[in-house]
Amino acid sequence: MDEEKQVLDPEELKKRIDAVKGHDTKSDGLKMRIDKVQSKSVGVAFRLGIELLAGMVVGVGIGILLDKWLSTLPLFLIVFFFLGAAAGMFNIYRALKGLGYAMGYEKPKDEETESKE
Amino acid sequence: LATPLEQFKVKPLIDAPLTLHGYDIYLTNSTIYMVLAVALTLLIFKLGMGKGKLVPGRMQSFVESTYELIEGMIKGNAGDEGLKYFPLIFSIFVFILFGNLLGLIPYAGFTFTSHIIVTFCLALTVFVIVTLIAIFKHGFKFLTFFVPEGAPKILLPLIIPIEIISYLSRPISLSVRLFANMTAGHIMLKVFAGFVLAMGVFGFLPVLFDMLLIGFEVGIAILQAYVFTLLTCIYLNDALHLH
Repeated sequence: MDEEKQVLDPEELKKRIDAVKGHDTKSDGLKMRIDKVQSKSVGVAFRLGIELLAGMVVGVGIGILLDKWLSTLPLFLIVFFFLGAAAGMFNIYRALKGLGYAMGYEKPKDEETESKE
Repeated sequence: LATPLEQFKVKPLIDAPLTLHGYDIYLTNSTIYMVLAVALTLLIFKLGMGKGKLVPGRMQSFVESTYELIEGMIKGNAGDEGLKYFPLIFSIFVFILFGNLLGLIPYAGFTFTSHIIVTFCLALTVFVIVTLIAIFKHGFKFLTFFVPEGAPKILLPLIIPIEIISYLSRPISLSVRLFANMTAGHIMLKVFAGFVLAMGVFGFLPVLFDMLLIGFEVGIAILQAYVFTLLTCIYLNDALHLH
């Protein structure tokens, strides 16, 4: 019976509501986002590895093709190897930037404009 | 004992060689499962939509919730403009979903999405269509896609090739993700199944683990179909809105 009385006490109730409302602040939202991300970290790591690999594959592929075409073997391979690595890192950066929102590249457009306004 | 890779072998169903203009057009297990996926999709969606009851039954709610999932995904990621391309995205989702799930049928299943050529063709289709949409919609302005906003002018000769390579790497990362997930899961199932005989009395342990894994595999099958479709939506958004 005592417990029930406590719940109905307005002061106590107000405190509880405040406590619940306080949980919804931005820092907590961020924490939840990080928790959510960490629980899927294996999948994320796997995904980022693939992003890096894809950039490298395309870079080296373009380099080798150009070299075959112009018969300048190591030149373009080396140049595009580094460009491909950079593109891979760029992919990773983009993938990480939109991590908490969806599995995609960036946060949805409407959300972005809302936050700017 | 068959190797864990045996399950990915593409075999012709009938031994008689079928050729057309010098190309082999065998009916393989891969093609059969693709046809099966399409046929099953048509059947389920026909059955589900046939009655159109106010209170949906199982079939109808499966169809409706799939529809709503994709509709919400397109609206959320590509905006209302993207809804024009609903049929494309919906077909991709359902085709991959059924391909992944049909592969989980014990003994008979064959996962056509575990072949890089299949996923790469799907990804390339998406890539080409999305690029064409962008070019038709924006014309030469499409080229500004490769110039990031606010980049210093001196760095442009370096950044533009990197952006182009990054753009070209999309179909590869899209296809490798689906292919690697499906292949890895199926190999793992087979490897653990192989332990059953090797471990003798304790053979029940890998069986238990396999039961757990197959549950995971169902989850991965659905998730990867979802991810592939989601990334398609995001690429579509890039094509429609550029940056």
